[in-house]
Amino acid sequence: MKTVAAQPPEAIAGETTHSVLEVAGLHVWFDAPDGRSAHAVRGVDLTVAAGERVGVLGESGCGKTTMILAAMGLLPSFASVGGSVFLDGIDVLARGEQSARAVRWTHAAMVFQGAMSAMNPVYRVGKQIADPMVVHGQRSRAQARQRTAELLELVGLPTSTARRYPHELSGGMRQRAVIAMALACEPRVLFADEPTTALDVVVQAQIGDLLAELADTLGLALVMVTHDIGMIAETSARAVVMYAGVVVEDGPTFDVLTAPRHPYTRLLLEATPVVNRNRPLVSIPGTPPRLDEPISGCAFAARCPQAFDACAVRPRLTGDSHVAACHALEQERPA
Amino acid sequence: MSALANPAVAPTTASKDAGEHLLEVRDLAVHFALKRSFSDRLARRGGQVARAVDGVSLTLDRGELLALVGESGSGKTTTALAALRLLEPTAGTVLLEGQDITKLPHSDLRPLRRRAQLIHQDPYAALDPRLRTRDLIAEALRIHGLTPSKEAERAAVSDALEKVGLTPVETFAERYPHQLSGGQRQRVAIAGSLVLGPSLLVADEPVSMLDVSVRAGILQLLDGLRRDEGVGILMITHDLATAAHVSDRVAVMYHGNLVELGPARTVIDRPQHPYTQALIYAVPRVHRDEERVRTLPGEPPDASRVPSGCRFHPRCTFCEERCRSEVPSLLPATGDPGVLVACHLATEGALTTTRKDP
Repeated sequence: MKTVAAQPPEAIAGETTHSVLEVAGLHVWFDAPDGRSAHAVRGVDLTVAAGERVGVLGESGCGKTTMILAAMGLLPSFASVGGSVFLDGIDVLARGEQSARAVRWTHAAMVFQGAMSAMNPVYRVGKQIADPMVVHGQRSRAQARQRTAELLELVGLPTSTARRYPHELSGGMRQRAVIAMALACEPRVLFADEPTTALDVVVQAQIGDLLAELADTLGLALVMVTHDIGMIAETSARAVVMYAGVVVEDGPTFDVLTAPRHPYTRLLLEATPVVNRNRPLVSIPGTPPRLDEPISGCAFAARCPQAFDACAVRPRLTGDSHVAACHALEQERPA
Repeated sequence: MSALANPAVAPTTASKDAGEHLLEVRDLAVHFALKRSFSDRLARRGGQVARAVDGVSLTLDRGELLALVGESGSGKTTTALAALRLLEPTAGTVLLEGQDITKLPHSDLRPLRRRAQLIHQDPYAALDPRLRTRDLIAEALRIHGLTPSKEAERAAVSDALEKVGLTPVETFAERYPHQLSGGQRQRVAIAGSLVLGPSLLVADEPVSMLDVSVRAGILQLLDGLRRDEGVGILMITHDLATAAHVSDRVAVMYHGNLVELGPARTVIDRPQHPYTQALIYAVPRVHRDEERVRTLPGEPPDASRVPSGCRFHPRCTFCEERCRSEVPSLLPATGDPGVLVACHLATEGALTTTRKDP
């Protein structure tokens, strides 16, 4: 991972904010061997306060996962990063792997999509939960074992789970164990990448509830990336919608999902089947833009029913607590 | 297509009319023998059996879309595969257009495949990356010997592409899978099935791998096929919201059994079986009129360990004594006679606390 220029955002320079995650002007390019590159994240600003539950919503390829991988310093070597990420006041991108190591586990941890592949099949669950605490020098083996039992209880698993192997657990139990592992070193920020997608509906609900509950009781900032609108509605207080590598809407979940301001969010909601509402589904015409070609203006303009001349210029996020990046919104406002 | 006249498929044309279902599954069972464990051998027992599907009966009519819903491991895919005879059923019969296909000799299975097609979940894995769209679609025609000439093949491929909305046909026909988006790939897969003119389509989670913005398009395509072409569609899904939107009827499976079967809107709005209630209640949503109560405890069951009585009883909040011993049959619900439900309480009107969430 190469870092292309990072300047600290003013908020950090000014010190004492309650935000635990500050992403400013984040850009990520994936460089292909043939010299081309895909611009996956194209300038994202995101500030998350301690204890805040944020859901990042978007379809595949919108850059939502890339953004959180960048925040954890987990991008592959062929990625270039611009902008800055501050986690708990620490500049993650400043000194490459060294600074990323300083924040991982202890300041921020991540729950991945496939609980099956997130655990090592040949080690007992307890060892895998205890390892990060020992590796990061937080606890001795014995203390870590003690803490493992507490963590398992916290995520609703019997303490005997520590002696089991991952294959002996069901999908839901495994995802709980992975969450326990992520909490091992008491991070301030918990990133969750599609934490429920691989699970059954009933288990999805259990895991969603657990994550929201943990964020509240532990004062964790939860950043959950998902394409599941319902999941965001049930677990997050704030919803951020991404499209083609940019944030197009950001606001209180209820407002975003019931009174969306960006045309993309509105169409996405209309395209989503809802179990207790009977209405025709719409599909959004066209496909998202290619990220390996330059995008000028609003990335959604080509698929947007409301597009007009102004859309040739990239729109900025406007609004107070519920912001959206759309020129049509600026037009609506009384002059 | 008279070239394909085969004694084994002949009855289709004769008995196609009146009163007969397109697909009728009766008491279908699929059991898988598990490897004999060491303790089984010590005790000189036979190996255990996973009863993936255990006595499922359902029907599907022409032009109907039936959604088979359930959690993973409930036996929905196994049911569908056995109904296509892609798996050998352990017991029960499957009638396709009045013909019992469970008794067909293997040599007669190929004509059957023409009438009943499967659409897979993953359009990324279902298409050969080295074939162009036109060859992917024509392949089925060639296998079934339905290509009298190059022109006829080209016309059939164009027709199929047009039906699935991949226009301009000339452009899409020349593309390789990697040049197509997920939704377009799924359309190619559907075109590959349609080109054979099947009367039954089994769609196994046809949209779960796709992005939300293109899902609606695929669902509308399937909906159009059954309306315009009269194709009967058995759609397997774990997503109740999708089922509610596109299907006529919903069949809910749990642990190898059907637990509820009825008109989609009725089942979703007024679920009768406690499992269906829990399942619908667990679906995350934006508008919820009351706080979500604690969802269903426990995990989906193990097909090799079947509980006595009602299979859902270990997880059921309404469980009574007889639920542990007596197996409930699928009977009309007291609350809604149009719905069949396998629950002692729901069929006797004793289940009063139906959760409501309009």
